[in-house]
Amino acid sequence: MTNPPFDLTACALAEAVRSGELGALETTDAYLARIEAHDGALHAFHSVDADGARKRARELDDARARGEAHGALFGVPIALKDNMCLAGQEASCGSRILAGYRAPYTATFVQRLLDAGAVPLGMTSMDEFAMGSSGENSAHEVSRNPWDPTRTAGGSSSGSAVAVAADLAPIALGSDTGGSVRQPASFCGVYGLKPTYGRVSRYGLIAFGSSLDQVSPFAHDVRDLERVLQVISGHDERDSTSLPIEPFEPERPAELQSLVGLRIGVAKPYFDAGADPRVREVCEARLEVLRSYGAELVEIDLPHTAYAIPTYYVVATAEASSNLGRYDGSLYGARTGGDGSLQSMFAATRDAGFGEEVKRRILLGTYVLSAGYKDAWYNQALKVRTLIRRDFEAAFEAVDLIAGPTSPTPPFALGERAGDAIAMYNSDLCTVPASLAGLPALSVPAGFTADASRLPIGLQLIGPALSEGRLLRVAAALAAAPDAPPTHALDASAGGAA
Amino acid sequence: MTDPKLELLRQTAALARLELNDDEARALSPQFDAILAHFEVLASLDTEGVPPTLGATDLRDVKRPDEPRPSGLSEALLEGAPDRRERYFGVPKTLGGEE
Amino acid sequence: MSARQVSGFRREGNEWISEATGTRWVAVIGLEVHAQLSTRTKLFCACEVTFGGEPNSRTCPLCTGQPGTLPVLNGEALELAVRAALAVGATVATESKFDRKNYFYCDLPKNYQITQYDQPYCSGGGLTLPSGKQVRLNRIHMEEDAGKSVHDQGDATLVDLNRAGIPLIESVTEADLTSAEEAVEYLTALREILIYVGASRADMEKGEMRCDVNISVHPIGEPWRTKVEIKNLNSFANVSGAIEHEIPRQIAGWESGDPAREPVQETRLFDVERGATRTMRKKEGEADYRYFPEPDLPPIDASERFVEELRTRLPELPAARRERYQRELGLSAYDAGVLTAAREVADFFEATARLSKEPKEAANWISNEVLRSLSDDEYAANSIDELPIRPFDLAELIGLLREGTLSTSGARQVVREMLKSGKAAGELVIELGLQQVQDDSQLEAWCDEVLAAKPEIADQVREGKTKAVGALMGAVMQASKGTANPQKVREILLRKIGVEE
Repeated sequence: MTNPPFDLTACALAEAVRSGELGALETTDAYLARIEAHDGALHAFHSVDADGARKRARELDDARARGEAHGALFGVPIALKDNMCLAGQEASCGSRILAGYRAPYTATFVQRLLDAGAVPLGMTSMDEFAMGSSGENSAHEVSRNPWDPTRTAGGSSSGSAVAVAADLAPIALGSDTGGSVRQPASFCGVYGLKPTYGRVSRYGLIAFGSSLDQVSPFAHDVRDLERVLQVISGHDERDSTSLPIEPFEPERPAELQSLVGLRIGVAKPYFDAGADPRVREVCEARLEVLRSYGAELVEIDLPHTAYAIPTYYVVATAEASSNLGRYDGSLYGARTGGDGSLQSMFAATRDAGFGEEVKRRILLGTYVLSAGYKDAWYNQALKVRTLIRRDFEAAFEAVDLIAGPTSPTPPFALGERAGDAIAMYNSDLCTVPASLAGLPALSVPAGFTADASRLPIGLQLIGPALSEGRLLRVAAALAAAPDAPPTHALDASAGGAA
Repeated sequence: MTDPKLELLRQTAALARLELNDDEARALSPQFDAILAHFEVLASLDTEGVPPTLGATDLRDVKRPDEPRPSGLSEALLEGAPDRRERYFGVPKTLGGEE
Repeated sequence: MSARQVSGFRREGNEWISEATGTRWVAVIGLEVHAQLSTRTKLFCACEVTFGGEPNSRTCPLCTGQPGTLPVLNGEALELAVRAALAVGATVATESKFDRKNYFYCDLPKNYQITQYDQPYCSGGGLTLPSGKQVRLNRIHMEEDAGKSVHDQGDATLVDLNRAGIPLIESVTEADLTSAEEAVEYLTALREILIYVGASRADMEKGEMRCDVNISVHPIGEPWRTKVEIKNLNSFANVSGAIEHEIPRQIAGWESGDPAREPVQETRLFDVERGATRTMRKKEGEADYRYFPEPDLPPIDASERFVEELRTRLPELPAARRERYQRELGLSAYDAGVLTAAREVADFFEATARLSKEPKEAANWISNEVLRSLSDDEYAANSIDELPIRPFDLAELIGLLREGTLSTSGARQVVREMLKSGKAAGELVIELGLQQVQDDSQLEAWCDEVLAAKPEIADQVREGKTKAVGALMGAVMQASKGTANPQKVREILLRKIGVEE
């Protein structure tokens, strides 16, 4: 292969492998070699299953030889976040408490990928139990931003974002609870899509905030996002919160002219609160492109945005404090002995197994649910959540989608916020509202900071429930327009070397 | 004299089976307070008459038929135990029952 | 009256009179009963529910609390729960939800139990005890069962999760009960109803029904005092024993005048061997379970249509059936009681009555011969449905009786054979030669024989002792091996003797 497949989209790759133009094994080998060459510095992967990947790839090549090359992602390598269950694979959730834990079953969404012919390469690194916005809360490796390795890749789906940005995998899955896919997508200059809550089954996604978590894809290309969403979405009887709908169907490609009449809401709170002026500059430029193609920019207000961070953290930590109660060393995972009694074993195991941020959030969640405080905190947060949802409902009477920066700042330096929990929480300002409302939200690579640091900036598009098609159509228009930024951090055509 | 805030933190930790010794509690307490202070703005909102959002969908009445489907994983699940005792999960002895 | 003699107290009805002080004490008792719903699978996963089997053999990732798993509600469990609610006259909520109850224990795989806290699926209702006393229910809710832990195994506790996730309904009474006897009556009535509507098999020995008792005592007329919880009683005898021990224990504690002996709010267990309750743990205030709505499960919809449809499919309850049997079929209260004791017996009876059109005959044969055979080892059947005789067969027998082909004693012989062999009535009549003889000449012949053999009895009859003809009849029945028609025999005998009826 003179030109390794790294500049091909996943869709093009699937086509090439199905037709025989590329082999599944040679494709997998190419990506494995690239991981070998680059991941030592980037730490995108927590574990790589080279043997398993090659075995699968060989099976796919055999199938094609038999004339049975079907599957929308046939032969396409994919990276999975370390909180996703694939039978026999370790799923440590970036934590010591699950180090060595092998999933006994396969998640529905992973099975659908396998059925479509995808080749999982390994599990990517993440903030412990998906709690973090920088990847620095991992108990294992910490991913580096491939555009500037002194900076974070965002979080909590850090490794998956890096894997795609550095072409260690053409597509990857992450999980987004309050922005954990959109923000790393923004920081790493790639696309990240959080679907409507209930669009994709959560069965086999290790839970953090049950009413917020969604499996979310990363990609270089809008078509790839559509393809992955199509494969993994649709009703699952194993998830009682999964919507009783068919898998997502991509819309026809967007013509730039078809943006005429599209009303785009520009929410002041997202642009104002702490937004770095470089972020505003890049996002506003992109919005101008949309305006020049006929879209109408409408200033809207989302009056309860200031309450979104506290609401999110109260609800998410409450659910998490309960979801993480099961990690106690009794039935699986790591165990640390205590003084020989059951309850002390629980405490010792959790003390040794959980990192600081996880403990902090479990404490917070336990507190807001505890007797005497529950009404003022948890019950109040549930009501404010309703107000936030109503903000969006009102906004969507006037506009078709809402646009703003994905993150108030460009990627920050490693260590810069690690000790400051509040600063870290505040960086989720733009992303948590859509999570609280269960709405689909897409981070589109918008450009780079104008200064010498050239850091990636993402533009977030939020739509009404089940409007992923509309968001992707707008993203496709932006991708086809001038100044669409590159999404490959390392030189893609250089093959195995950086 | 016990600091009521520290005491509250330790009680909360106990509920969550997270041990906090004196030093840890003292180190954690100011940060915990700062976070709560930051979030206190929630209390200032008037939510009279606003219904809580209990679930993230409008789904209701999701059920499945009463059909047995053995998982075939019982043995594998036992194998994953930190302390397997033949057909049982072994845990340290309990002193005095639940809680 | 209590079967046990407790020193220091005299019992009068439900009052305990202290011999030391003369104070009249009464007990206030509420029961919390957990009953396993008789579904085939667990509440939130498709693992099978059966009694026994290897430990940890009916498990899956969900009921062992593996990461990433999600609950899915068993629709049959909801139906059975609603049936139970309707059977006790509770109001089914159109909307209810599940909540998480968070606490840490080795038999709780997720360290939270999915239960119902502030919006249970039904409320109210109650039962009437045989004495006529009403016991009100506060609520019934659905929840999943925990696993089992086996303690005292050297250095470890062993955990078996077969039971984890089994569907339960927990029913909580108001504190309307006043004695061990009433508690057992309530449990008996509750059990009967649950079995009757098919909601639960409620076999306490298999752990399908468990009971916690909340009990306090106070001098009559005074305010209620501290209540104590006694947990996990697994037989009616233990419920009774625990209450019988606890009441005098609490009274003695109050009367001792020693604050250290006063009953405190705590959980106790019943030590079966010693026949006494003992402290399990002291409650320092209520445990904080941090209940919150289960985010993985949408709310339950029990629309009026759904509930009404279940109501129409509900079998007629025992009390209503008893009343109908007396009113419509003219049965005695006693007979109605016998026939409605078990649902399958009542069903059997109604089918037989319908086919034979002779409800009183049907009642008679079932109550006597058929039910008696169940306690006779010879027939090796535990329930009426296991017997080889079906309503159709019994109806056939009743028909043969009514048309005169069989005499009563002949029918008795036939039914016993039917119960043993399962052969049809008609076939057995011929096989045993029991066909009642109608042929007058044969009857005349037998009568002549008997009259010739016992002329002195004939004389007695002639002298006015008409009753003595019975002895002659008996002799004819014997000679005919029970096949003679008794009425006809009597007529013939009296005619031959020359006496008018």
